[in-house]
Amino acid sequence: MPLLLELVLTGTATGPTRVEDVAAEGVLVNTGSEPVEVDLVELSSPSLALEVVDESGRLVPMPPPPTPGRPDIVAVRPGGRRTVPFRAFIPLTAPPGRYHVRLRYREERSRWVDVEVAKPI
Amino acid sequence: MATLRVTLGPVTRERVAPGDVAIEATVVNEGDQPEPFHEHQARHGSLVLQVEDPSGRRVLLPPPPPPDERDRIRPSLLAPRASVTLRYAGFLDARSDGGAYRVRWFSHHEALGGSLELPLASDWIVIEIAHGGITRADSKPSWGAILLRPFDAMVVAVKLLYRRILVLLCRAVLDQEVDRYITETITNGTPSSWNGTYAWNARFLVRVDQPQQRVFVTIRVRLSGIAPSSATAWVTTVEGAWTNRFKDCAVLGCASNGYPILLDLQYVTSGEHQVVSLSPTRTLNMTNWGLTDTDQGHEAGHMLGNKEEYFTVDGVDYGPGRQPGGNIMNNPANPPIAAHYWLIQATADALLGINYSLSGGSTRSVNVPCRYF
Repeated sequence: MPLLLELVLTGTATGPTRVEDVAAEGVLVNTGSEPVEVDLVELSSPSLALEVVDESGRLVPMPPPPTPGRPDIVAVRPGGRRTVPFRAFIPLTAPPGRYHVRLRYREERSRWVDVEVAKPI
Repeated sequence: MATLRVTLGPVTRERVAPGDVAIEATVVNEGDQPEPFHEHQARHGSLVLQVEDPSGRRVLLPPPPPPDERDRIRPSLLAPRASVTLRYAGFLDARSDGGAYRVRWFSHHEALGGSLELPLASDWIVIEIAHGGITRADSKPSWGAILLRPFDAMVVAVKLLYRRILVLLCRAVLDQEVDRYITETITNGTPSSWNGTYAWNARFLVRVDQPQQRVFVTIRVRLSGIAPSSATAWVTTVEGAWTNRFKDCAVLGCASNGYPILLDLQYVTSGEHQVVSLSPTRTLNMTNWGLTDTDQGHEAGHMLGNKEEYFTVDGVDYGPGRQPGGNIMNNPANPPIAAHYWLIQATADALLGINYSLSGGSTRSVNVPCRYF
């Protein structure tokens, strides 16, 4: 698929952030010359669309995904983009520390971004 | 470069007796090539678990059984991004002292994913062990604590006896907070994005009320991104899916027709079991709920300890999701089945001191009599 993915942190906090305040925006761009059909359910669910690894490189298991069978297909025109918000996507049970996150859709992956999770108050 | 990774987690985060310790290991192939892994051999805890007692001393595990036919065959190949989940229980001596034990999965054998230079190892996890109702906070108690220990034991014994009498008199109201670590591995997903290993904590409160002859289950949820007044539909959906459909036929001569299980989804500002965020679209996972669908009953099912029942989960093939005849863990539009109350039933039965169940299981539809003999 001729897609470009990007994940951008959008929270206003700088430095360590509480798990529930972590926010990001996923961007999908159609870099091809034909429209591409994208399932927004797959692209929007943190459990399906985000890969989170801890400082040791271990994959952090995400909560259970949505029940399949009701895709939300949209067509992205050549050069077009689709953005999806993510909020509080680091599992609540994840200990404080630095995490690496990237967006994925089917075979495509974005670059990693770093998130630092603060200790709970 | 190592492509197999193993993570270890307790089955329950509650303090348990040494003989009741249960843990789950998940081995994942994070590489692009199939890797050999002898799943059958890996099921022998004595071959792969390392345990340290509270003072840091290595705990020797019982010897493994003699190798059988399946142990002797060559290891199978674990496909890229595939995983296996292994459960280990009863590996700790029932007479072990209480305290904080450390456990990890470890092997330097090639058939088990490791090598001498690069063993396959998980992180150490801590398991809190209780013993005889007394939990020692450290391995070196003070003299005062030692002198008071017999009195502590007496207080605990009296409390247990008092509770037991109340239960026998059908007057007990018993509470238990549940916190159970659950994992599931989905394979054969269509699309394949659903494949992977997921994890969460099933958390809720169980109250067995003998005078009212009810089991009350409460899931406390703190909302993020939405006010409770705007999320009343979720309460309706979740409670409508789970409350007053089944009952625990606990045989004690008290509730003659069992204890109907009532479920309450409660919005709180602190002390929550789960945090649920508003999804801008539809329900996206266990903790991201939407206002345009009614899948929240299924997600609450996870909070009660249930796994998906679509695609292949932990090796069991359920077929596609949202089948017309599927139960709530396959199709959110349909109701749960008795088996989905397993953790509630187990908790309620433990509170009542029951360790058996009626033939056919002790959770039944509220409309089906509990048949006592």
